[in-house]
Formats: sequence, C-alpha cells, structure tokens
Amino acid sequence: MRSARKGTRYAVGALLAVTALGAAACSSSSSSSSTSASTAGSASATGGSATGAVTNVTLGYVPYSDDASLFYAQDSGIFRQHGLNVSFVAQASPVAVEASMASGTEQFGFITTPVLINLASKGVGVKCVSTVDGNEPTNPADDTTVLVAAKGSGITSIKDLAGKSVAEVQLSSLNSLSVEVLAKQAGVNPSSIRQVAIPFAQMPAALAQGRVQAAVIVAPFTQTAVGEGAAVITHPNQDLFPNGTLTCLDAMSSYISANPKIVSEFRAAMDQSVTYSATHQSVVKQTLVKGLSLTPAVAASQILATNFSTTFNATSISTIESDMKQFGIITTEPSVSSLVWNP
Amino acid sequence: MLRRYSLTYGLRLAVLAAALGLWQGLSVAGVIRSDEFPSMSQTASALSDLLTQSTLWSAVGQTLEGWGLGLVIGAAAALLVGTFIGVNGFAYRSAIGVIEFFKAIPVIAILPIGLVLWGATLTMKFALVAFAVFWPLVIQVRYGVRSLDPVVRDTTTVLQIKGARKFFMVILPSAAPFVATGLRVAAAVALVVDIITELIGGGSGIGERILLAENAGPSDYPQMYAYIVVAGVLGMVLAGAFAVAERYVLHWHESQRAAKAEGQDRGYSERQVLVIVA
Repeated sequence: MRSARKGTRYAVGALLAVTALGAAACSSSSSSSSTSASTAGSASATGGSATGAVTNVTLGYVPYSDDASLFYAQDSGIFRQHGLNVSFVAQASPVAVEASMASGTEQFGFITTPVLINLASKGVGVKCVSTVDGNEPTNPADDTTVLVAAKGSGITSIKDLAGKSVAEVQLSSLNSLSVEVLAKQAGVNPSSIRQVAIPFAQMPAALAQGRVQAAVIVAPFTQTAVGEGAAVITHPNQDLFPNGTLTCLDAMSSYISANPKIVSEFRAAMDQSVTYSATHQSVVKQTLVKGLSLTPAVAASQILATNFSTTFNATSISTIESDMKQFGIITTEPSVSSLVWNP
Repeated sequence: MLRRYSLTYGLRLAVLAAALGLWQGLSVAGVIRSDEFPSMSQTASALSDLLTQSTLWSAVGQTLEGWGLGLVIGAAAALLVGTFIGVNGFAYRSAIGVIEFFKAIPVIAILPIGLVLWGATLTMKFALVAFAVFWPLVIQVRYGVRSLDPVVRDTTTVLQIKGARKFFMVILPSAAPFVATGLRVAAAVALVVDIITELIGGGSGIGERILLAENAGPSDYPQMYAYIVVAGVLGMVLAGAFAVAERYVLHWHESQRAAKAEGQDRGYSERQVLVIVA
C-alpha cells in the first residue's frame, strides 16, 4: 500500500510535467506572430473600402524566381499604395494554396492554368485575377522550360521519344501534358513514352547517368545539363502555348463577388508592378535576394520567363482545356470567360 | 567509470567524424555532385551562418509551437480515451476497429483536409500533429492500463478502492511506463508530422525554410541541408529530453530500477543528454 501511494505521487508528478510542457508551448504560441492569417480573414470580410484604410489579405505563393514582380509589389510598397497589407505564405504547390483559399485563411494565391481548369471543371469557383509576372515569353532565350535529350541518347526530335524515358518534375502537370501533346502531334503514341517524376535538381545527373533519355527541365538546371552534353530539342510551352497564360494569381469567385474593390486594387497593384518589371528587370530581380535568400549575383543571373503582358491570353487557356480533355484529365471544358476576372 | 564514459564518447565522436569525413570525401572526389547535394563543409558553413540569424531561431520556435501543442492535445485525449477503453472491455471491443483504421491512415493523406479546414496556419499544424499522435498512443495507454498486476487488481477490489482514487493510485502508476514509452515515440512522430505539414502544407517553421531553400535552386542547397541538420538535431534533443524525463519521473518503477541495477551505462544517461543539449 505504501508503495502504491508513493507511486501515485509520482504519477501525478508525471501528469503535472506533461501539463507544464503544454503550458510552456501555449505561452510561446501567444508571444509569436501566427495570428496574421486569422486577422486577415476578418479584416477582408469588412471590405476596407474607406479611403486611407488598409485591408489585410493573405496570399499563398510557390517560391520560385518568377515571383520577382510579386515580391516587388510587396517590397516597393505598391500593394500598400493600393490599400493592401499583404501577408505572404510560402507553399509547396498550387493545390496546397487552393486548399488554404478554400479554408478562407488566404484570399489570393498562385495557381497554374491546368490546376485552375481542373478545379473549375469540378465546379470549384476560382478565377485568375492577375498575372504573376506576365505571360509566356516570345523570345526562346527567355523561356526557361526546355525539353532536352541526354548525350548519346540518339534523340534529335520529338519523334525519337517513342519508347524512351522522359523526366518531368511532376506527373499530370503542364509539362507532362506538353510532352504528350507534342508526341501526338509528331505521330508518336504518347503512351509509349515512359514519364518519370524527378526533381529538377536531379535531372542533370539522371540525364548524364542515362537513367532517363530526355527531360523537361528549367533554368538554372538547363545550363548544367547542356554543359554536360545534353541537347535542346524544343521549348514545349512556346511551341504549344505561344504568349500563353500558364500561371496566374487567383481568388475564389465568392471572394471576388463579395470584395470587388479589393480585387481590383490587387489587380491594379500587380499590373503596375509587372509593367515596371518589363523595363526594370535588374531592379526587380534583386527582390529575390530577400524573397528566395539568393545572393545578389545569383539573383541578377536569374531569367524571368515572361513577356510582361498583363492581359490574360484566352486562346492559350482554351488550348490547354482542349488538350486536357483530349487526354482525359477533364470531361467538360469550362468557358474561358468564367476562369478569368477582368475589371 | 570515467574511462568507460570517455571510451563511449570517443567512439561516438569517431563514428560521427568518419561519417562527416566520408560525406566531404565523396563531395571532393566528385562522386556526389555539388549542384545535387552540397559538400559537408558548404553545409556546415551555411549552418554556422544560420546560427547567428533570427530566421533560424524563429523557425525552430514555430516548429516547436506546433509540436508542443499537438503533442499535448493528442496525448491528453489519448490518455482519457485509452484509460476508458482499458477499463471497459465493451468500449474496447466496440472502438478498436475504428482506432486501428485511423491509426493506419498516413497524415500526409489527410493533410489536404487540414488545409481546407484551417489553411496554412498553426491550428492546421497542431491539429494534424494531435491526430497523428493520438491513435498509436491510445493503444499504448490501453495496454498500460491492462497491464495491471492481477494481485494488485484483486487487492483493490477487496479493499473497495474505486473511482478516481483507483485511477490515480492504482491504474495510472501501473500504466505510467507504457505511457512514458508511448510519449517518447509520439514526440518523435509529432516532430516529423509537424515538419511535413510545414513543408507540404505551408505552415511556418523549419519545413517552410527547407521548402524555400529547395525552390531557390542549387545556390541555396547548403542552406536547405543546414535546416535538415537542424531538424535532426532537434529530434535528438527532444528524444533525449524525454528519455531523461522518463528516468526522473519513473525512477521508482521496477523497469527503471532494473535498468539501474544492470549498470549505469544504459543508452542515455542524464549526463550524456546534457552533453547533447549543450
């Protein structure tokens, strides 16, 4: 009995220790600044239309170098001039961004056109409200997405891809769709191509070691691969979607109709930043030093893959829709006008 | 005694040094390409830069926040439910199917649901951590409660000890070692889940910093691996802290007494963990 009583004391002690740990965790949480998302939601609901009033909104983005104009709108105070106090949340993919938007904690977010089309075809009301930094570039030197073939693979054109392995950063993405469409156009059965998901950084090694015979790769990894003997076959995005709108910043339709003024201020701010970027690339690229923790030299060497156009390209969106339908990714094509918002 | 300690430490340091040396050697020899995987020295210098920056420490704080809240909520719920199904056979037989089902669901599969419900927020992080921690721990607590010595159980019946008194004086002390082991495992699981939610979902913390460094390209890879090293060290420190806490809190229990009698040099000692923490 005596030992049982002693045991009780320690057991209670153990419980207290756990509780104390919890209390410590709670107290650290109250001192930290993780409340921005919830305040953003409530503030945006009020509209913030009064002159001089600042509206808090939260934006989900996928970090990469084409965010330079977006970072510039934030760092230079353009968003602020338009009455917007934007909190940025870095996320791994547009799907995570859209899920957060559905929860109401984020009002704006980065999306790729295939994801936008996919959501819309499933009945989710989402619309592009501005470009990220423009549409697909017209100059091949600015197009960072390249289909390359490994040295010694014998591949010189799309036709040679039959029966070969192609590395793509993600399966059922725009890149994999491009490869399938290009193959079909060249008379190759798309299902004869083995598509392999490999991160961009591992693609040069995979090509050099012969694990794959081709890859859809982006800068700065393209330079490494080409330096090791890989050959550029084509620029899939330029071939298929010239001047195309392949990405955008979007919002939920319900949010847009409830807050038209905030959305038009957001659009105006982004358009201003993108237009400025067209003539001041070197200035805008320096936002990547802070935004992506690059060194100033590496930031300056980034290629912004854009034509800096602030108008959505409806033709390209409709082309992507019909490609997606053709390959069974969607069953119905949503009307393009329902996918974009214009002031 | 001292000699034994120094030998153990010496060997551990030697293995660590050999592993780091191998990493550096492979990088220098060009077996590992630096644009794929940075060398040990690059990573170490990125880490030493980070140690002086507030970014790292606030990321560690944010990660610990999600970890701590999720672990406490999940563990408290598991303690309650586990005890209940431990003492009530009918409840156990009714609920075990559901528990086993949820236990098998990987958190990454329900991450999108968490995102849709709470967005990339602290709530999303700790809710998913609590979910991941709860199911295995509930089973562990149940086994702990069931492990009650039949003689002790019969004695409490004869002495008519019931209710809260029975729970605190008989059941909990008996279950404590099971709960402690479960918590130690749960602490590690919680950290992994927390960092995954940050990396994939976008909650703030170490996972988010890894994502940012990864997407910035090869020039940021040393930083990415520095954050990964930080995550590993954090896991070691937390596991060590739980092992120490277990020894102190449960020093009366036969499992700890037996371990002590076998010799002091068993896995973690307080001193070793202090060294790790320091």
